[in-house]
Amino acid sequence: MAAPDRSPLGDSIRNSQIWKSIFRHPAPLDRRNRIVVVLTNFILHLHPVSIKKQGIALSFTWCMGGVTFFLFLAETITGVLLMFYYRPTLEWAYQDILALRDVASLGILRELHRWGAHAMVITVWLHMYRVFLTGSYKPPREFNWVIGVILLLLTLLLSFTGYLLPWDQLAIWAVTVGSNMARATPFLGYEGPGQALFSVGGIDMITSASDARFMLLGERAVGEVTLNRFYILHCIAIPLAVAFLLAIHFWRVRKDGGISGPL
Amino acid sequence: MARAGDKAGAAKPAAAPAAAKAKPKAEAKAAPAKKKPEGPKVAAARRDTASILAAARKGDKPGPITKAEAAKQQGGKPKAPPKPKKPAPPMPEKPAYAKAVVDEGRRAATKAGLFATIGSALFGSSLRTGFTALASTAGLASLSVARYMFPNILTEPPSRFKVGFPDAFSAGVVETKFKAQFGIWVVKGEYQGEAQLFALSTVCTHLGCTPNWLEAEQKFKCPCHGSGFYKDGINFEGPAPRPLERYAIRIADDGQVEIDKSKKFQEEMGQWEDPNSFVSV
Repeated sequence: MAAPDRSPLGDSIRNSQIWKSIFRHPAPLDRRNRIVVVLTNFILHLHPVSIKKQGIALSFTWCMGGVTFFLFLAETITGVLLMFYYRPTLEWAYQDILALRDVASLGILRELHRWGAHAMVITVWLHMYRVFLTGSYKPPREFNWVIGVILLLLTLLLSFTGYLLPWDQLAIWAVTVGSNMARATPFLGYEGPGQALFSVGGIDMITSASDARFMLLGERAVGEVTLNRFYILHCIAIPLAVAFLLAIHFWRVRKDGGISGPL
Repeated sequence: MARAGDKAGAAKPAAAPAAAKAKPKAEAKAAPAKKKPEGPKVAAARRDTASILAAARKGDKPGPITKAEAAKQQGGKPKAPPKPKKPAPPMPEKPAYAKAVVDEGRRAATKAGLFATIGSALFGSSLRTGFTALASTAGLASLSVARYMFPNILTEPPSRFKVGFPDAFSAGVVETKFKAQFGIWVVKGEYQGEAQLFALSTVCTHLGCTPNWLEAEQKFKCPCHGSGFYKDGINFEGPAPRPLERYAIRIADDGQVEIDKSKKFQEEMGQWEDPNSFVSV
């Protein structure tokens, strides 16, 4: 329990009003205080104080969940930076993506965002596969698997909505073909089975301007309204949902017995 | 390690472990200091309980003695009579909130009973009323938001437009100049032996791409998956399952050709027989 060598300068900083207002505990010197510092710190408490040694067995966990979360954070940061030079309008969308590549100083940012998206889809599938192989979906972890599936769908939707934003031929037609599937939805698509079910007094309720595809696109064909909608979905609506579900997902991992703990 | 009331400043962290070390030392010093005055009274320095007690008893002060010895000392001296044991008071009645809930199941047998059951389930207490209000508000809010997601304004060009006089179109020619703006080809061609002027949709019937009119090969060819259509719009190659669709076409009052994209006609359903789908020439 010997105090480490402390310089007077470091001590004077650590005893200053500013330091003590930020850091509520002094640097820990024993195990108990180490635990206290981690448990009572907002950022540090997101990780457990200690984990079992098996929790870092890479051949068991593959660390794909952690890598996916890291990629999500990387995508968020690169995405926010890209937002400063991108306008989701018909007039500017394509030009701004080109400008991000040729004119902005970190031209690689758009590619980093794109590669990160591809990698995140791959790692999220690998993570799902690993959880299945190790049986980590069995009780009491079944609900966490359900949350994981929803997160997978949201990841794929993030990819789908983000794909439209460059507004090039690939983007427009991919979203056209993809959203055309929605018009064949049973009951809710204007070309799907059971479309005539919702008709009031002979007037169809489900038409090309009032079906599920219309709600997704905001208009009858992919255009500027769709671009705006997908921009909002991609940048804030789906990420908020993902963040919320991720919090629950991590919480459940801890509370259900820790990562890769024995069942 | 208390941080409040910090007065010493830099010396305090260094002094604290020193103070912590000093405390047990001081206590250790105090203990033998307490025992020392007793030392001269006792000849032998034995430290077990019995001898300490014996040494204490030898002094003029009465030392600690066991209960048995105390009883023997007093031995027969009448003590104060023991107080009579009070009987425990009866258990008070359970308040209303602690009582078990009465089973209301049998009440729902009749229609009036059913309403009463639902009514009490939803509004029986202020807590229930509160949750009912919350659930209703949340439900209404969700429905409102769902309706909000369907826009009320369509930013489309008008579906009806004029494309010029019928004489401006030459026989056997596919007019491509309206493709970009209106998404149609105006064709003065033939269908089932009849000469007709009709408007074909530029949407490929396979997956929705925009085909191109190849003048040299006299066919529509879709770049996405290679669907091919004849000049009259009938599909003959590629994955397209059916012919191109026609839009409603008519001669307007001023003599110009007017096309209405809100009405479409599909050949495979026999709708090209409909006179609204072509203009006879």
